[in-house]
Amino acid sequence: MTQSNKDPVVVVLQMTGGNDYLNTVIPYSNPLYRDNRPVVGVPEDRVLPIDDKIAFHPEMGPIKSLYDQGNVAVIHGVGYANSPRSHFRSMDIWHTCEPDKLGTEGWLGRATREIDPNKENVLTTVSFGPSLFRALALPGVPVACVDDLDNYGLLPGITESQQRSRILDRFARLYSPVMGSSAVMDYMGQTGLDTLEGADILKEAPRKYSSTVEYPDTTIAAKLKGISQIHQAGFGTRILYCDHGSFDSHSNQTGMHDKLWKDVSEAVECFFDDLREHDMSDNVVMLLFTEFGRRTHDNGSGTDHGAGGAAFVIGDPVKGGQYSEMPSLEAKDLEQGDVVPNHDFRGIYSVLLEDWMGLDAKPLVGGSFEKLPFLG
Amino acid sequence: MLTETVAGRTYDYSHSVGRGSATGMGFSNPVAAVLGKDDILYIVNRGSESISNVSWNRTGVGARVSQVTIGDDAGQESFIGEFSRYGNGDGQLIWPAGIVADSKGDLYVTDEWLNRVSQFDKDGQFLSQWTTVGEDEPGYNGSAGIAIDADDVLYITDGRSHKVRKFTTDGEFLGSWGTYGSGDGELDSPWGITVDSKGFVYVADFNNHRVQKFTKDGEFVAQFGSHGTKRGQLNYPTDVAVDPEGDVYICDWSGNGWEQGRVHIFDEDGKFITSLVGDAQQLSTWAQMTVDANADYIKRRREVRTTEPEWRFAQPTAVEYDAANGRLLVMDTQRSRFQVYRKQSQYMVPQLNL
Amino acid sequence: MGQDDIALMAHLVRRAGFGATREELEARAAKGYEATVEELLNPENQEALNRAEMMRYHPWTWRPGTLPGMGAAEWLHDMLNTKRPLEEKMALFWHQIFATGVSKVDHYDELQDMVVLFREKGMGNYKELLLELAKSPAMIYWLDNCENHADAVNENWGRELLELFSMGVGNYTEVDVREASRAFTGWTIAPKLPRGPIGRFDWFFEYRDEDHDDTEKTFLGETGNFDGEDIIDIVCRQPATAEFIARHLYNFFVADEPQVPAWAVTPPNDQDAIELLADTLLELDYDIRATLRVLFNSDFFKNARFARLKSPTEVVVGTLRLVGGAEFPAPGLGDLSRQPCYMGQDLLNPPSVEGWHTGAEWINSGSLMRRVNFTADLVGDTQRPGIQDMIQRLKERGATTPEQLVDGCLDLLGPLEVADESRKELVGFVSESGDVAWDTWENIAAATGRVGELLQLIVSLREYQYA
Repeated sequence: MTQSNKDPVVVVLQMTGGNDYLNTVIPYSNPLYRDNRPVVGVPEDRVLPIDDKIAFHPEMGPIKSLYDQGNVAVIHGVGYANSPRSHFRSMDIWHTCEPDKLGTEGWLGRATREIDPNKENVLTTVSFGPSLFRALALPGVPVACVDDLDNYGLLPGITESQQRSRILDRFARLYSPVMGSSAVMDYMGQTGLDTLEGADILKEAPRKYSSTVEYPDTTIAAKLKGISQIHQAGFGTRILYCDHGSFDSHSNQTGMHDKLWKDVSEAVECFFDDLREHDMSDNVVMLLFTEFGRRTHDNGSGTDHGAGGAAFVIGDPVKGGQYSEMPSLEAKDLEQGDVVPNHDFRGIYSVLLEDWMGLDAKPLVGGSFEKLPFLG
Repeated sequence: MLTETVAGRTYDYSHSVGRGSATGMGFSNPVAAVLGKDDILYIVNRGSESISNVSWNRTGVGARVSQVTIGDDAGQESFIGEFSRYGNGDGQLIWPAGIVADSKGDLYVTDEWLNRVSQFDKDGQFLSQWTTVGEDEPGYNGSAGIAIDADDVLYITDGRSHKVRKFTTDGEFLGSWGTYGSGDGELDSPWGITVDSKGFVYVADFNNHRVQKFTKDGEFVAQFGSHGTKRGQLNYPTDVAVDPEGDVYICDWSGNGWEQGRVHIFDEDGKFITSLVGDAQQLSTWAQMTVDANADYIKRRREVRTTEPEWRFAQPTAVEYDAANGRLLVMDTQRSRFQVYRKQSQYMVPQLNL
Repeated sequence: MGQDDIALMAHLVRRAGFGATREELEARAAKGYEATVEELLNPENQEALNRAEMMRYHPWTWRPGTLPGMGAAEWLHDMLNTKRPLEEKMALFWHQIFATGVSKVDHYDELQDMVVLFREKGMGNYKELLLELAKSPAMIYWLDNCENHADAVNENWGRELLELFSMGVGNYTEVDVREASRAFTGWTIAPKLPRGPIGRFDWFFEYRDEDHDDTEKTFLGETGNFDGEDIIDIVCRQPATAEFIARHLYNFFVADEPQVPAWAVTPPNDQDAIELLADTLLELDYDIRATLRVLFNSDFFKNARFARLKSPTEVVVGTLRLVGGAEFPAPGLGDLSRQPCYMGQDLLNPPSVEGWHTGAEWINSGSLMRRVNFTADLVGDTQRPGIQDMIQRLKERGATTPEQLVDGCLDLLGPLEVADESRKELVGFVSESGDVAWDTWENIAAATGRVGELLQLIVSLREYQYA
């Protein structure tokens, strides 16, 4: 195995669709919770209390045990002012840190530029998904975009291996520099060769990997397993990003939300078991966030788009516990029917960038925000 | 205009049922319905495509059959359950299109992508499925509308091969009629179909903008409506129903904007009587629950100058007559609900100078 | 008809449309170049697509609200199947300039309406188009003109109108921005029924006289009690506007130019061409159709083969039109419509009001991989009608040697022009397995497989990325 690279690593798990805060970190003893959740409220005998006021969703058992080990920070009331309650807009704000205008640069794209200004490593940042998350987008900053690690690369549709290597050989020759060619042709040639190289390196990750941890057969587990493989392969990857969803529980929320959290919790547990088994967990911190929380009151079957939400930071270096506080559910304190965020998400980013990655957060998140001491 | 009155009949708006929902209490693009045993209304939801990471639901969202009861009035509806989902496995649906119930209460659901009929019992247990494509045909025909006669013979329209096919409830092919064209008896992308109490078959001839009436053996009998966008004229008729008195209801998208659908009513001789345009001035009970849970929706609804756009039919795709209760049910597809009207016969119009 | 007629026709329909099958190219070449230009410029003579078909099979494409990522499905199907290719190409042209996105508007419906506007007015008069745009609810919300009040001016729309939609930076002052914005006060949106629970409802433009600043303004040297329409009139009288639109037309239809932000300091690659187009616009009062006629019939256009990189939408639509098989709106249309996004062009959701950077900026390692993999999968599917047709033609031509196969495939995929080195590599690749034969079923099957493999390598070429 390659020498482990102990530079700090951030893993982001984006919970796309708007995770229901109040049914994830449940104020189970608050009568206002019961009043507002006649249909989708989680019965008190199912919840997993972490203190006398707050409990985890019943399917979060594996995360609860990480919490009990002191490795989970729960951050209450996360968001920003004037939530637009739109998936697109809100996700954009989280990705670009620009709540007042349209931003085009992702906060982790900027971080990638800081970490690897000379673009020495094509795998500094790896995105798991069919297209690049805007959080990672920054013109001129290369980010490897992996949909499926096992089939990553050029021409995966050609499955016969000899045929494929014949074609890829020619591809490399066809993309090699040609005398008297245009600058754009040269640029494309270099890009093509980089692509080939990146794919060759990444292909090694699953090959090098072995583990006794058996991940469940879910989409999120497959992504976290891929992230674990890349981390363990020692490519010097510092930022890894994936998502899961959809958490957009407008209807039949109960069964749907149960399944989502069961899948996420099991996958997160396997991920950390896997890293610990290989002594690779001490330099990894994982952020779980969602673009907004949901309405305080249910709609008879689910909950609609709201404002304030919860985020989680998980990992061995994390100082577990609850941070910030759950916003009031009193009717007079709600805004358009939503709990009001009391902790700016850019503060969480700032801790990760500054206290963990050792970067100057201010230019990356566009200002100074309250930092909570969840990394000790 | 909650009541549409004409000589001899009146249609009183009763209430609407439903709201947009990919599962549970509500519908997603309901395209067909049938009243089955125990007063249960089965509603076929076409659903939508969406990006989703949920592996069992990768592209199709909301395709299913919903079971509801209507009740006599607003607030009495109830959600009973739902079955089937997006997919091409046994009992699953890609493009569900039509539904009927046989005399036992078993249900037959057409799928116009998979070109097959799936049979379920009244509780939604999958029983069997069969293809509607003959051996010597190209791979698709687009089985869409489905009707059943008093002898439990199934009639299925082919949206893509422009035919009506007859099958037994076991899927045995009995015959077919129709060729592509616009002459009498010819069809262009037929969709909804029904059989009246005398055994005549009515087909919504979608791209020909008319309804055709046939004998059960496929002989052309009459045409209802003609192309146009005025009252009584048809523009993309989607479905047809006939009540026991012989009145014919044609569900139509109308050409005056895609959100101004109509149900045109003709008498049994093909004379135009009147049109319904949708009258849902009050939100359905389920829709109101959603509004109540969203404080800013309530505010915005107060600000608008009129709620009229939401009263109207938007691309209604199915019409079903509830003979036992004298009610007309209109699937208001783009509004993910259905509207209910009550018919009164022998209605005397009061004198004009009253 | 000569080989060059086909090559020139292929060039025209790649630019003025999304490419065509060889059969279509031959039919168009037989009609002649200028006749084809006229046909493309007059789309109303070709049958429109049947909207009812899409609503029947994919009812969710009508007013899709914010259905994640799926708002461009209907448009993609239109681009794939339209018999009026220039109409759709112009819709794409204007969308890339008047870039408006669901990321803020959060209503795909309104963005679809904007595409309809571009489709209907995109070849008409630019001035009228600007006026319609100023009244588009999506644009009003996107650039905050609904927050532009007589007593509290919001300059977002006023500024972008001048900077990105008409004149370009350097041709107006900050005072002009302010004055233009004042003229558009009161141009807003009527309150609409909120989204859910029974679907979406239309937004409508509303002019509020009481919120309009009707006092005197001085804009670009002219003074009067201007309203928005006057501003658009004045803007269109400026030569800078004509030159700006000319440069966009050139960049989109002729050859890659430097990116828009550089226009104030970097002269055009072909100053004469830009002047010709700009003069035409001014002389003909911004008649876009007439300007396009000049453009397509010019030598600078005809000589600009493979002088620009395909946008992701052109890659996806062009390749699919070539290989065929996407005529019926089958299930999976939504996923298909995401493909340009995966290559860096999320239709109806541009990264910002500046739209997408084009040319070489389309290319990075992720997008290049997507381009290669998507197109290679399509041309490797030898069951597709377009590929079947190519194989039939190769067979009829008796192409058996590596050189004949390579030249035949390059011809049928374009005709594509490639560097000598590339051709040499392709021939070397085919030579590894020797000649093919078309005499027995077995040999035909083997030859078909070989052709599919070669086509995959050809679309992987850098040269295939050029239009």
